[in-house]
Amino acid sequence: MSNQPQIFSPLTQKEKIASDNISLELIDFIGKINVRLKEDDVQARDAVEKYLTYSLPKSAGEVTGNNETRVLWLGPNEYLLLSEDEKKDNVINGLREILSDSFCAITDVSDYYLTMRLSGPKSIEVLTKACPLNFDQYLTKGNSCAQSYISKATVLIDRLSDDLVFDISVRWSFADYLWDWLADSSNEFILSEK
Amino acid sequence: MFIINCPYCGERDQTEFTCHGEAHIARPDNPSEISDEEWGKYLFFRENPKGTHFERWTHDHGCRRWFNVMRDTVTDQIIKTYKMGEAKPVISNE
Repeated sequence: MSNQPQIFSPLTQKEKIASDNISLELIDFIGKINVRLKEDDVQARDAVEKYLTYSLPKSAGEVTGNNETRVLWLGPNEYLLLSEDEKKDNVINGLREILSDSFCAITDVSDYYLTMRLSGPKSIEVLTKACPLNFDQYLTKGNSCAQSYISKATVLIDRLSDDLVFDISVRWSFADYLWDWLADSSNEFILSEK
Repeated sequence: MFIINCPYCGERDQTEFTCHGEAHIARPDNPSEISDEEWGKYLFFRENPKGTHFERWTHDHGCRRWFNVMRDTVTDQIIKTYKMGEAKPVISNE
């Protein structure tokens, strides 16, 4: 018997959905780092922006990033930094180093959230079935994010581009439920193609 | 649908929020010096107005921040939402 921890995802058994109207797939193992800074600490903010080489989101629902990392607005003093899983430790150490004198919290939440990608022309119709967000007001364009809930699960929705591609992050214990819910809700659009 | 304006996120559905009771209740600075009656008053006694009421709410399914709400208990109309630490709005007598 080995005591080595094993990496696995709760959704590996799920069959992905790929159709013209709607697609659903698992986006496994992204590095997710929760960064909290004091709202009025300009120095810390500047240091992080210099380290990342781009500015942090300034208002609700804003997303910034480059080819390597992506930062989502979670609150006035809270951000979610996404990176490749292999590179996240470097980013965490880098941030901790430049923020060593600041009052802040840098937490690795990679294993706490699971991300699934919903895309296709019917994706907003699937989401609006049980998400109270007004999609005419929020997530109207690429590089925007919003936190809300879908059915009973609290989610963070990240619209990757102006095309309808949504990365939905959910607490891993809700992942199985949310996947089944999304798959079930997508069903009518898949059937209507046939 | 009942819409609440979160001071951080903007207009969102009421179901994303939770109310946590009356706002602007300051903890006494000198708990060891005040009487049991005064302490009890701070802990348990709350306003129950017919009309404008000040409440603390959280945006649970959004930014998870606390903020204050000025709400009319008769009509359920939310008159104003404002951030924690901001001054209590004055009630107009219209």
